[in-house]
Amino acid sequence: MSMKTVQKTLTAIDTVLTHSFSLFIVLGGALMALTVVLQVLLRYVFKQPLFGLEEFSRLVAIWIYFLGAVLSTKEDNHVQGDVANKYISGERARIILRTFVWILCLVTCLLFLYHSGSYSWWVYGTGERTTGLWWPRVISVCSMFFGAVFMTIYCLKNVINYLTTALNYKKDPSRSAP
Amino acid sequence: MIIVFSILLVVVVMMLIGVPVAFAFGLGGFAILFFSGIDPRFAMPAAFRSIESYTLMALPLFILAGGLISESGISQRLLNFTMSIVGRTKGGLGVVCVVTCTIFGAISGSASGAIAAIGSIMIPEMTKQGYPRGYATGLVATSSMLALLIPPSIPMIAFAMTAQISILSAFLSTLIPGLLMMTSYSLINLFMSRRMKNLIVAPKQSSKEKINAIGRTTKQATFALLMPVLVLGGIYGGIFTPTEAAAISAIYAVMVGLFIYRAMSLKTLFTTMKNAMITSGAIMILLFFILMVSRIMVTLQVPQHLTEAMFSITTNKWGVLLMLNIILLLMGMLVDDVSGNILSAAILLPVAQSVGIDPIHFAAISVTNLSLGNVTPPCAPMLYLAGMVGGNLPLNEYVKPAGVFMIFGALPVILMVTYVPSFALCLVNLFLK
Repeated sequence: MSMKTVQKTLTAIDTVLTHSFSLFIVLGGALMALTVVLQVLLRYVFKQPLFGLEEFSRLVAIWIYFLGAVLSTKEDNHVQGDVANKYISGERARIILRTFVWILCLVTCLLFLYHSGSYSWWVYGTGERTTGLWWPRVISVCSMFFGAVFMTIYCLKNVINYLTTALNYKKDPSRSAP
Repeated sequence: MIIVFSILLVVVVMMLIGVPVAFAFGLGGFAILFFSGIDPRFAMPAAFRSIESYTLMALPLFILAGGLISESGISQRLLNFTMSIVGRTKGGLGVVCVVTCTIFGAISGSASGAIAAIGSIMIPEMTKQGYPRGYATGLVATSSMLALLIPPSIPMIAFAMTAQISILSAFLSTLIPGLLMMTSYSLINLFMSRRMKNLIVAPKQSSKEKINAIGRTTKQATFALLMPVLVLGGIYGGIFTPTEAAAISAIYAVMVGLFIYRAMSLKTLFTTMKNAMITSGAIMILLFFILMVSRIMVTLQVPQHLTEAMFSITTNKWGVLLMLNIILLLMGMLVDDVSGNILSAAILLPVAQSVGIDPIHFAAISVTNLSLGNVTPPCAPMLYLAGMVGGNLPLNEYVKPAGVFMIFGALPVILMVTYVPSFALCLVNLFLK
């Protein structure tokens, strides 16, 4: 398989994943808001809140948080100060700095991946269940691990993108930062 | 302890070079865990359980509501409404901007939402009417602080949740300071507008015309004006919790935007929801790591060590408050409002309590100080955001006017909040005690 085919396949996978995650977070956001409103309606109209609905909303919410964090990593949308960039005038220096920044992010994600993985595995081993709906707690805990996996992948992608740009900078000065 | 503070220093450096705040705290947290020998299985579950809470769902839901309100046509109607009241005086447009940011704050609790929704309309409009673009941008940036002080406030939810204090009381503690800040901004704006020679002021209307215009815009803005009544009335009337209020305001904004004002298409709805959820994800991962670091710090007794260090300088209550003021302002310059408030609740609240400061009073101190930090360089996310909304202006064009509002409008209010406890606590004592 040539490098081009690999790249094409990875891009296609990335597109499918991005669209799926986007759809999930939009549907999840709507579901989260609707279930909360539904609980208010049930409480005031039917005088009987639905048992376990809050737990369900929380489960949806926690998955949205980590999927949102994945997309945020992909789009480089995280909350950041970025003061140094404002004072560095050289384009190449900026790209090198961003490469270094993403390497640090990658290290964080790898540590997060390891620790969230071992925590999820531990929760799975205990067989812990939620108090209301009696669902396995690992369903919510593994959202953290799932998020860590994709955050790590997108950090790696960003590192590669910036590194490639930094290395090829002299050869192709018109190329802008990714 | 030296290792912990050294790592925190590295965290600050990482933030300054552009490492996202979440990852900087995450890496710092893992480093502290490594050097202190604390089991990560202790810190991570605690942070996970905190972000899993039902109360904290108010945060993404308010972000969602803020995004939807921006797109639903509500902000334009709010602007028209305030414009009909004060828009036809010299400097009136600036007052419209300040007041609308306040009303927007009473709906969404988000400073970035206020900048995006109000700034994108007001900055071009003010520029058209002869205000310097830098001035309009600085005014929008500093007015966005009001959205953080007027309840519901997203950073206040984060503080109250971490400090385990009543969200309702915490919300009330910054209401009067917020309203006073709104008044002082309006007065400063009127004063500064007098010196602007090129301002275009709409011709004066007769009383009848004015009443008609107010009546018309009020009618058009009815659904927009009902929103703060619904959100705040519902919360303080004991009808629903802040989380439920946030969900109701999001659904309300969709209904109004899609079916009443018809300003929102299904495509816009999808994009807005997607962006709101991505922002929520970015904030929640940040919260997760900061909560993890806070938990580690509490375990390592950092607040106690900090208290001892401060007490070695002075044990006087006012002296300690001054130091807390300075720390919070510096912290606000480095981290965003939500993370700053979590750190403040976890680390500085015990210090404040040790000199007899009420936790609700400290919540007000923390939110007001950190909101000022949000518009103070070097890391002034709201200031830069306003600059982007204002048309990618260079910082030097809007930092000076923003500085005037910060020094003469925000700072006196912050000092009053800090040193006159009854200023922040009067509504809490009146209604909730």
